[in-house]
Amino acid sequence: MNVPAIEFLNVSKSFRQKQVLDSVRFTVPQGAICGLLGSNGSGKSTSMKILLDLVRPSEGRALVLGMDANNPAESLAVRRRVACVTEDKSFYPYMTVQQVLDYARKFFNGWNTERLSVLLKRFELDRSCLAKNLSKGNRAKLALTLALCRSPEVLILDEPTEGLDPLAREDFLQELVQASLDGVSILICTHQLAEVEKIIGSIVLLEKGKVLLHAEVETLKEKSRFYHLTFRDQPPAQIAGLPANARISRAGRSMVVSSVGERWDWRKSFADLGVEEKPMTLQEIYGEVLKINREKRGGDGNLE
Amino acid sequence: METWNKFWLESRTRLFWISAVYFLMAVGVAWMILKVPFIREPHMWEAQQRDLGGVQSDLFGFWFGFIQPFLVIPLALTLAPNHWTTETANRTVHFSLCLPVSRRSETVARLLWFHLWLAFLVFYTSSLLFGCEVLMNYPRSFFSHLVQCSLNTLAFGVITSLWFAFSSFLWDQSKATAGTSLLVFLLAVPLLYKKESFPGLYAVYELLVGRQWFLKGEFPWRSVFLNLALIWGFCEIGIRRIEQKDF
Repeated sequence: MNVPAIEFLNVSKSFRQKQVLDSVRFTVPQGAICGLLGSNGSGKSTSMKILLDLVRPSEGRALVLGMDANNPAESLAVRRRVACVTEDKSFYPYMTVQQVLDYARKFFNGWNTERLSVLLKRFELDRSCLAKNLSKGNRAKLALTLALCRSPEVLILDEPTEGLDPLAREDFLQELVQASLDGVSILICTHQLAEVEKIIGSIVLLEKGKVLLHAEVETLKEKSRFYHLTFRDQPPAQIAGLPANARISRAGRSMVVSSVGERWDWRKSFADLGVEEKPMTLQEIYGEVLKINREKRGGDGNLE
Repeated sequence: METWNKFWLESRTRLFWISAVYFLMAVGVAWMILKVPFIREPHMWEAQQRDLGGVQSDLFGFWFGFIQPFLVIPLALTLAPNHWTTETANRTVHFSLCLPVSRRSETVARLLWFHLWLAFLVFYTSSLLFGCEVLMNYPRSFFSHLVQCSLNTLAFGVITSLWFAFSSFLWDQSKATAGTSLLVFLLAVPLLYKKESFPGLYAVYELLVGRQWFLKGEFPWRSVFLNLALIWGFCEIGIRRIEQKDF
């Protein structure tokens, strides 16, 4: 049976009195690239940490390749098959790059030496440099090199391109696509939406610890639109028949209706108006979902 | 072995310096054994048997009972039996914990590594003093020296394990050091009283270092077991706490 690469089963987490994750539930199938998105403090990093057993959930279970990520016995097996780039991207300050690589290599049977050489050359990393003297970008490169050389089945990446130069970012994205083609499942948490839009297959959008949206990117983009309406007089105060996840913004005689995940049949109400439809980028979808949710706050706010 | 290699790379410089400090202290006391004529009873067993004074009545007592305990807390601070506090400060804790090594096994490796260094420092500096005694023809037995070193190492192990347990809760080296030092000091207070009087009855350190062996010539099994039980207990408390901690 093909078990999902990652499964969150109603995972909740509280730190003291603060609820950081609230019944989070989503699945990443094997071989997929999924983007975990959300504003600062939405619970992305905590979710990643739960998968790596750095943080234990208060309720629910997180499974990686069918194994409980927070069961002490199973989490070891998970960490043998999973590679990660955590938000810190810091390495032992007393080791050189070569020593860090040598140290990590011994924990993994499937260490790919050829790939290591290629990546070190591509990222221009100096093996003799002390890890503490690496720049932020070079630390990110070393973290990515370590993650990709392990020959993992699942990659968990928390802001992996933070600090990278544009060329290195491009190289990294190519590596991710190649890894995905090789069957590696990837969960990537990033704010660089324009960058990853080309490669991710689905997104999970978190806001205040809850899943706001979990959808395939292509379907979402297909069904999400901006509708620009220009009226001869004042726009109407209310519009009937709008989709549930729609938002209106007005400027003088113009009105923009943004609808996420569902097309709006504007012809029913405004057949006589010239309505301009514009597709949304992932960045725009993200922004609109958050705005719609904030407007709706008071209800459950779940757009799933 | 990889983890031990990491520990070595991490603390070799500090180990060098702390070993040097221990060595210099031992050289100072050795010089006193060789040169200073005021030593009343150069070997403790006889001194204790004749009840000529407390543990600090001779230089060995001074060394084992006073100088070495003062070096244990700085040693714990320098080599950190709870290396997760250092890794958290260095922000390398996520990298370490994402490797396929259990928290328990890495913590146990660190504790073992730390206590082996502790034993090494106690033994090699004390051996220097033993050498001086042999040189001066003082009638001190090698077995007595060996047992005293072992018991002191175990007793220091209790203190550092306590420090480890404190640090696993407080997660701050200075707070853990303050807490341990306070407790160590409070437990030392009964030593100031006569052993028959109320506080003197609770002189834990005398039990830990096996004073009755020196007094009666018995092997201090009770002390050995008590030390081992305390070390295991404190370490287990700390390890469990680390296993449950969110990083």
